[in-house]
Amino acid sequence: MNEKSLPTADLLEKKRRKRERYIILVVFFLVIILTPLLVYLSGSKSQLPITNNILVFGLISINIILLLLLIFLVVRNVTKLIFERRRGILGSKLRTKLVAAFIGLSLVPTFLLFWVASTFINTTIEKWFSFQVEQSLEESMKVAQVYYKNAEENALYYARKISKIITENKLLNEKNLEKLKEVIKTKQEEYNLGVVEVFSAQLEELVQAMNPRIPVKRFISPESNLVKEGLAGNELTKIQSVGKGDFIRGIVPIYSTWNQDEIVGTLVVNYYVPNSLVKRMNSISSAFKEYHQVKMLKDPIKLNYIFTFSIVTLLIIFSATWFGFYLAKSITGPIQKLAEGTQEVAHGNLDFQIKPASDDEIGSLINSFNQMTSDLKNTTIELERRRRHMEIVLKNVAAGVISVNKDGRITTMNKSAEVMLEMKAEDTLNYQYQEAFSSISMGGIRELIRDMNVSTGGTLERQIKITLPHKTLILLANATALRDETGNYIGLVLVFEDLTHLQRAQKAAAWREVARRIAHEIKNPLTPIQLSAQRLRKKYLNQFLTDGKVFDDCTKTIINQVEELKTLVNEFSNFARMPATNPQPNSLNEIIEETLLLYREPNRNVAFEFEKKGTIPVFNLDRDQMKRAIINLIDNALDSMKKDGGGKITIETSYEESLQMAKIQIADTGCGIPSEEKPKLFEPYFSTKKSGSGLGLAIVNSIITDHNGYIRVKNNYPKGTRFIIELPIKV
Amino acid sequence: MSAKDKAKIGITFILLLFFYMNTFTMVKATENSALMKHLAIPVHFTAQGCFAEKVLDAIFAGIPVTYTFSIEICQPRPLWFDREISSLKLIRTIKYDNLKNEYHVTLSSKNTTYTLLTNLTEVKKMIENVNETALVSSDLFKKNDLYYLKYNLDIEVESASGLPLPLDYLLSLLPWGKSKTEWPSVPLK
Repeated sequence: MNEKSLPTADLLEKKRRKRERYIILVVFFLVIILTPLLVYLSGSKSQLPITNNILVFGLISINIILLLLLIFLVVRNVTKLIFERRRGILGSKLRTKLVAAFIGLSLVPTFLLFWVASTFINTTIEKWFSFQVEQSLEESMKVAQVYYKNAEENALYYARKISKIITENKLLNEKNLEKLKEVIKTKQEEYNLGVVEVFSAQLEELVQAMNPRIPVKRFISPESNLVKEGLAGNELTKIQSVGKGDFIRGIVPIYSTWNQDEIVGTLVVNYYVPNSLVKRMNSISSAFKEYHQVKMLKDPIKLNYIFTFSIVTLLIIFSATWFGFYLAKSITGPIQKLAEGTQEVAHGNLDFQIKPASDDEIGSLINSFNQMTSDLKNTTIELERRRRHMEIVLKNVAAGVISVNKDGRITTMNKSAEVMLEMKAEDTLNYQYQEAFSSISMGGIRELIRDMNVSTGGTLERQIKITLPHKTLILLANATALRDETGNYIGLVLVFEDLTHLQRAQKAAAWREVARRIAHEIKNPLTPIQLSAQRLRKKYLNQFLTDGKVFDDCTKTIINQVEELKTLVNEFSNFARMPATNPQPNSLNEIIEETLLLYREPNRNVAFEFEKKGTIPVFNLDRDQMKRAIINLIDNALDSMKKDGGGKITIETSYEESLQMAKIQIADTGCGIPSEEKPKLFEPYFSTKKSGSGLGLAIVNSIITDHNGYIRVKNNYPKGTRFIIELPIKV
Repeated sequence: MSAKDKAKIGITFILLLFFYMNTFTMVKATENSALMKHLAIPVHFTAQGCFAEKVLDAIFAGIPVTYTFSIEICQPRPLWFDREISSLKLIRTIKYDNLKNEYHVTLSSKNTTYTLLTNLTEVKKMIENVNETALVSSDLFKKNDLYYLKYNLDIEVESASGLPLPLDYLLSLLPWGKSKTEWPSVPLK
């Protein structure tokens, strides 16, 4: 696992757990709040026990909350997915497809099921309240109502009939009381009436004839107000429940025989409706009532079922969506991690490791990826090690190395090449070689690369001369074509060695040999010539009387010229026989001070300045040779300032500790040296002066080279020449 | 669901109810010493539209219908709910016996008077006409304070019992079989 990813994963896991705890707490509190709210809302309508209420409403609350939570999560995930897709986050497209597939697969059967169930319930409920059922119930109800109505009408009818008989037969007369009882009993039996009662005008019950099948205990006489109604001349019926049965009473007045307007009593005919019948009719009534009650709830019941189905449908759809998200996440999660891992590896992070999530094929894929990354890392480390090794070799090799690919772009430039060509690798890498080596002085390199590119051979070697602002280099350049395993040309490598010093040393050695031979061949005859001239002069000078002056001048000239020639030959001889360097610990500043003493007094018109920057340690120097070199340089400086009749000579010494290099700079304000002459300056017999032998700077160069040092010449600003000598302290 | 569908669904009766307030006059209580510390507030009004077609259908089917008149005397309070000084609830229930063609009317304010009637017009009058007296302790009133009286009517048709369990619970949460008016108010003088 990546070093950074471990704490991040832990942090995410902690956050997730914390969030889950919060959600559980919120759900718990919502259930606590919602349950009493639902119980309150249900109010008095719910006639179920309170424990049932709490349990059921608690469950309803949980369902509502979970459904809302599910909806929230699904909506949140869908929104997240849309945004991820818009942002082009890896894995979002695959996740979208999987989720869409799951939703699609769940939508069709769910909606089909919803439609079938809704239609089925709708049809079933419609059947419950079908016309036939309703009509049957209504008819039953009407039968029951008609039964009571008929009974009422019969009661009234028979009451009227018996009342008429009583009136016509004067049966209310006290004398006919027995006859009245008999007639009432007869009529009760004849008409199969329940109870027949006769009340006097004083509300006194005169006669009561009762059907023996009626339970006596259950019978209650009509209330006095009903009897009074009869006495008032009203005919009325009244249904009165008594015990388990009903009495249907028909109440009519009994008129006087002599005066039709006079009411002398009340007759009550009671029909008895037995309990079994009442029970059945009450059942019909109750069923009728309940049917209408339920009918009123027909639409709510339908709605309720549709609502329930909708919830179940939504639950299935949201669950399927959620499951789709879960499955998509379980598939795209590792793929996303793999993609991220690939990107990380592509960006060079080879420490990236993916935590295996499962032991299935995806787990194997992740393990393979981790193995691949690990192997890649090891290979990269090895390659890097080799590259660094190669770089170090190239950096430390004395030869300059430049590689160019087949497109002509520079791909490598080592340190030595940078130093030699006074270029920086970063300014040339990935540039076309024509562009990088565009200056005229680099024409040799350009030509070599161009020739190599068109050449069919494998190698090309050439000596190149490069003129840089401060030096001229002689390089031995070797161009080798690079080919891959199949022999295809992939570029070239250019290796060049600086032959400048070697060539200079070879030249010096050659010149020394020439000088030695000249000295040897010329010096030998010079002494006899000089001696002969002196002898002639001594012997014959006084013998010439007239032309003695001519003789004198000629011999003097011969002697002087020979002398000058001898001096010249001696110088040649000295150059050719330069003694071997004898380095001893000496102070460079002391040597310079001593040398300057020789010049300060005789050259008052010249300002000598000696600056000592830092402390130069004592190191091995050949005191005499070094003094000679400085003398030669000061002589040259004085010569260059002769025209001006004065000037300034500045000598500056310094020490570079990091390089362990002592540095001497001798600058004058003289006429300076033209740039084109600078490369030949240290060659023997090259002089810018008419009287010079051309050996002074060659000797200086020879001494400095013997001390493993290096001398170069630059222009001094604002005018003059500046010689820079660098001497290594450790040899 | 549209209002039309809702109206079709069940027992939500669209009821326009108008109260005709005859008098809301605070008067001194009777000479009865027990009531000396009370104010008798006669409340007379007639409710209209109590017997909509669907209500009548329910009544004729034998389903009990309950009318609850709520009368409250309140004191307005700024920045808070108004204070309820006193309240009166009149519950009137009609149950029609369709076998015997009788109306059973129960009036809670008349000490559960049970009345049997066969004439619907009388029944309607009994329900619609409110003629009550609210007795309120005089200590609850303060001089110069403002008070008002508000009232409303709930009509509830008894719903079916013995429904499957979830239905019973779900329907109990819904306003089927109930109808409620606004709470109009009148200031007390």
